[in-house]
Amino acid sequence: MSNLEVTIRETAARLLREGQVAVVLGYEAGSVPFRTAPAFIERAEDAGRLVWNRFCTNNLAVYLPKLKGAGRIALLAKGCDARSAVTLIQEHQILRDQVVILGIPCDGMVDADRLATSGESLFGVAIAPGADGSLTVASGDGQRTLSAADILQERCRLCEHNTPAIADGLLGEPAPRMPGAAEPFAAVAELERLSPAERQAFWHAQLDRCLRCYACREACPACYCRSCFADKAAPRWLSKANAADENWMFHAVRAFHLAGRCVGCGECERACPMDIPISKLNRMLDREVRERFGYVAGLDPAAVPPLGTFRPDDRDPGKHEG
Amino acid sequence: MEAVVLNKSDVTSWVRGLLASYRVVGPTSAAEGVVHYTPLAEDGPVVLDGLRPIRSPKEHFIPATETLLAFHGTAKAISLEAPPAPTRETVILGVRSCDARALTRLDDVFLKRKETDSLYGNRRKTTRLVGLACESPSWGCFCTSVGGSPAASEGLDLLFTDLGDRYHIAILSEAGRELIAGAGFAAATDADASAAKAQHAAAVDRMPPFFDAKAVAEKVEWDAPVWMHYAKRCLACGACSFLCPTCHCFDIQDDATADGGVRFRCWDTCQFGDFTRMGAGHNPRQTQKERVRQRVSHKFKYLVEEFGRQGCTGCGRCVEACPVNIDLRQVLHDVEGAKR
Amino acid sequence: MAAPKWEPVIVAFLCNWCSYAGADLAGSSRLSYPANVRVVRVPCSGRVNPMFVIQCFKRGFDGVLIAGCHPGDCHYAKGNFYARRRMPLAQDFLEYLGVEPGRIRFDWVSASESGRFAEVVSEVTEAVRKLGPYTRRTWAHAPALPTELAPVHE
Repeated sequence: MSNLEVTIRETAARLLREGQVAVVLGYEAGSVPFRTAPAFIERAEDAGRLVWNRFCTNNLAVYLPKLKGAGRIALLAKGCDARSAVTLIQEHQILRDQVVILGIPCDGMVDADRLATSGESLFGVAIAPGADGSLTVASGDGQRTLSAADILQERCRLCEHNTPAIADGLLGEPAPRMPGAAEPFAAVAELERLSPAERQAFWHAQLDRCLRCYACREACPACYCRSCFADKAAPRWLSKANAADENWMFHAVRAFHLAGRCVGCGECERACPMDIPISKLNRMLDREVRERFGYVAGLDPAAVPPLGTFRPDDRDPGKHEG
Repeated sequence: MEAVVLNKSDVTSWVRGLLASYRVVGPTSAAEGVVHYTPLAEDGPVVLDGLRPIRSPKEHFIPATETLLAFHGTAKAISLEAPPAPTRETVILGVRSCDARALTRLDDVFLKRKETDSLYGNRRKTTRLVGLACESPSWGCFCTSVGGSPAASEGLDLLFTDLGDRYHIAILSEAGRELIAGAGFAAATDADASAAKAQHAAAVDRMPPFFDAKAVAEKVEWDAPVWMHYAKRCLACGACSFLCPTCHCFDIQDDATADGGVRFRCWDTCQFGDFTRMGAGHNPRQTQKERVRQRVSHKFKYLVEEFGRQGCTGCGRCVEACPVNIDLRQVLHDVEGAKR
Repeated sequence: MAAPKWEPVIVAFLCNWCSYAGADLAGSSRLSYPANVRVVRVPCSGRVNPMFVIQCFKRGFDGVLIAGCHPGDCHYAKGNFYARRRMPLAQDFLEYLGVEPGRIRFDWVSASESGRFAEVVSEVTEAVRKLGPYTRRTWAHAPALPTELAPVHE
């Protein structure tokens, strides 16, 4: 058990015992070694269920709007989760003093899909973490040791805010910068090198697989609308049919609704059962909002969202088409 | 049991032969390596190995979206057009045992009640299923907990078992026999049969049951705390239901413009918040607790009461897809033990 | 009989107080401009939800024009300032999704600028004509739904 895990448990127990919070949102052991499950700890004696490891990937801020009115909430927050919480505070989905953000410096979550080599089964697997940050994966077919740093989730590798910026206390030492943090938009640039026709074909090939299960939307802390545009019957923007460009429109509009609000936590992409690279949509808008308006989501609870404001010297459209 | 062998190098020519008389659907690798069941072309590679694919053949019987009827014209002169029945027989390759059994559960719902679903029925009648035994379970699998197995033959016309350089093919029905008749495959030897049997047994041994399905059916309770425990984290997405080979709920909608339109049905799920919401706004399943309870109860109690068998064949897709690790095996273990 | 020649069909969101009035003036002044736009009058360019633009392409239109009051002249004081942030972002995002640059035009046209209206419409029509019909992709397994528009032939 790591020191950070001990600190998390002690902090959670203390906050509950002292009545400072009604619930602690954290992670507990999942049903298999490479998953954790969101935990809702309401009693100090249950704090021992909390874990901290390379599989604490969920963005728990998604539960904040659902828990509004349930009393004060302590949120175990990685850098991305903390920024989501800040976005929710900005948008009045939760009051600042209703959430205690327990910041956890993070050096990245493992992509569990990459624990197995192609075709290998993870059924019944055991995973032992090494002191050097390695993971030993033992299954019926043998044993392998992997470097966790080699199989990080892509959104972690690119993360620019892995030490929570806004928090009510940091539960550990600030984490070192992530290896890909200098080029968070490389994948976007790669797509932009294609022609418009090639890009259209790329997105259609990807979105063809979409089942309209809405796992992406439900996993996203910023998608909290009680009445989503996709579900409205009057006016009907989107057909429920999984056909033609309905899928395209769903993802295009959702991405646009997240412009300036997406913190790049990657949960949408992880939740997608069809491996659609949704983050490539959001990152493009993230970059545009940053370049045009100098705004990064989730760093300032008092900031006005960029599309909810303007400046007299904003760029004029002019005659250019784009 | 009668069986033949097919060398892996001969699969393509066999498929080509099938394509002369049938529409052939099989697992292929799409973008991002996601395997799904698609109609095969002459030279298309078919994936007949590996773990259970994330998509199931369910969508070839209940498509994600299906036109029920098309209408043209206005009230004074309106014409209706029903979708055509299948003209060609279909063969689906690479069907896992859990998915074949799942289709028999869909038969319960669509063909054994007072009203039958002819769209589903027509597809079922004109489709043959060629199975592929699983060598290894995928990490979420639990077919052995619900009376199944990685090489169960229920619902299949042929069953392939991978023996390295060749497949052992068990002939399970006359419809299956017709698919290999005239192809000149050698009969399976005793050694082949033993190898296949040993592989099946080894796969079963890897998966001791996680729970007792019969006990679960009796222990499902309306007011149990277990529902709330899991509902707290459930995001109300449709990943579990849409991937599930036995989930079958659908919505019916009309898409129309001034001079025509279609009535279609599309997948729906009891996990969506709006699923039971009525026109006036009342929703009998207001929170996720009711919805989680519904899904588990429907599959493990209500369908058992109606048809004598669960609406779940342990394929494990829901387990693997759930973004918040609601593991049905764990849920049912808790229900059986009346925990939480 | 020769196949009908394709003509671009462009949806124009015109704000009631400026660009729509400018279009009206162009009409009453008998100015000539291409008949390829279908006008949707909105109170303000700030009313235009990028979702409308995406919807237009989903339904098979070939181009979209959004025209509002010049900055500083908005009837509602600041509606067009919001549009000025939103619309170029939408243009670039849709380009990223494969909608070629030139199909979406966002510009200012005042109530008195009838000539400018005619000019803007001519320019966007020609730009879209050069690009050809906007081709949406339909999937083989999908049913043909009437929300899909066939290209308009005139």
